[in-house]
Amino acid sequence: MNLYILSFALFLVGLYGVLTKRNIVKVIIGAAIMGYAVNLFLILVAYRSGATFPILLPGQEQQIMVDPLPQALVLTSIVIELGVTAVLVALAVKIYAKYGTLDLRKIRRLKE
Amino acid sequence: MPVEGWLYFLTIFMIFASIVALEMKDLLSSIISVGMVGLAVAVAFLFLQAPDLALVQFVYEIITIVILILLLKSTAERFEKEREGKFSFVVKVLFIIAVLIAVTPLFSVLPSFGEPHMHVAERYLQEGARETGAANLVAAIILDYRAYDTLGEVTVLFVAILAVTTLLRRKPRKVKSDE
Repeated sequence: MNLYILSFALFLVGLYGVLTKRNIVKVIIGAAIMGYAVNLFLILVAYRSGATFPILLPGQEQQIMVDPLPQALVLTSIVIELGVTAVLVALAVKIYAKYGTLDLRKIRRLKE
Repeated sequence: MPVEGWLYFLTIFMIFASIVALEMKDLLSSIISVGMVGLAVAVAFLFLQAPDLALVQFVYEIITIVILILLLKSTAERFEKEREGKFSFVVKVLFIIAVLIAVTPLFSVLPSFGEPHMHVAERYLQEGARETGAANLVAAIILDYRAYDTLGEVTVLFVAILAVTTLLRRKPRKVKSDE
């Protein structure tokens, strides 16, 4: 039982939401939870015990620092997740305007 | 309490808050509890020595909650009325637990917590300040070593903004009829 498995469990909770929920808001929330889990997992892999953040402070010797590379890439990933969430919400608004419901089963028909 | 203890606490808190967010019938409450998950992720980033990420995660969380509440406001549906599918709750949970147990052995391949592989990052840490002149080494990687990656990120963000503005345009653009 370590932290990697716990963050994978968080990912599975999000996946459960995406696969089984019928409401679009719940599906968007599940996708967001999956994103959190992946980001958290990557930063957990980068952690080095007893190390400091990767910023050089004036007047100090360089200490042991954590891995800065996953941090830089996860920064990218968070911003892209924001874009994904915004597009999903815009699609949900359009679906509601067209069908008058947020239920995923009721929007199968393309006309009317 | 050591860092690991706090991280265990935060991760278990996140799992419970996500289950609450997914199972709550009131959509406003579920949006607020997913906000709690995001704030817990930001605090976990602080414990994992990633202050830049914590700041970005806070901002991301606030914007996400705002746009989800705007979605609720524009649809005027506060409660989830959909019923569950054929399979019962227990079957789904057992399936998820089976997947978790099946995947768990793969995690033993990874480096153990607190001892990452530093093949590439060692050079960034040693030479980054001299080569790029940046005191923040994360910024040095984003804007210098991996600048093309950031360019791709900005492109994705631009395409996302284009998609949102196209979808949410009030008045559809007039199609010119052929003469």
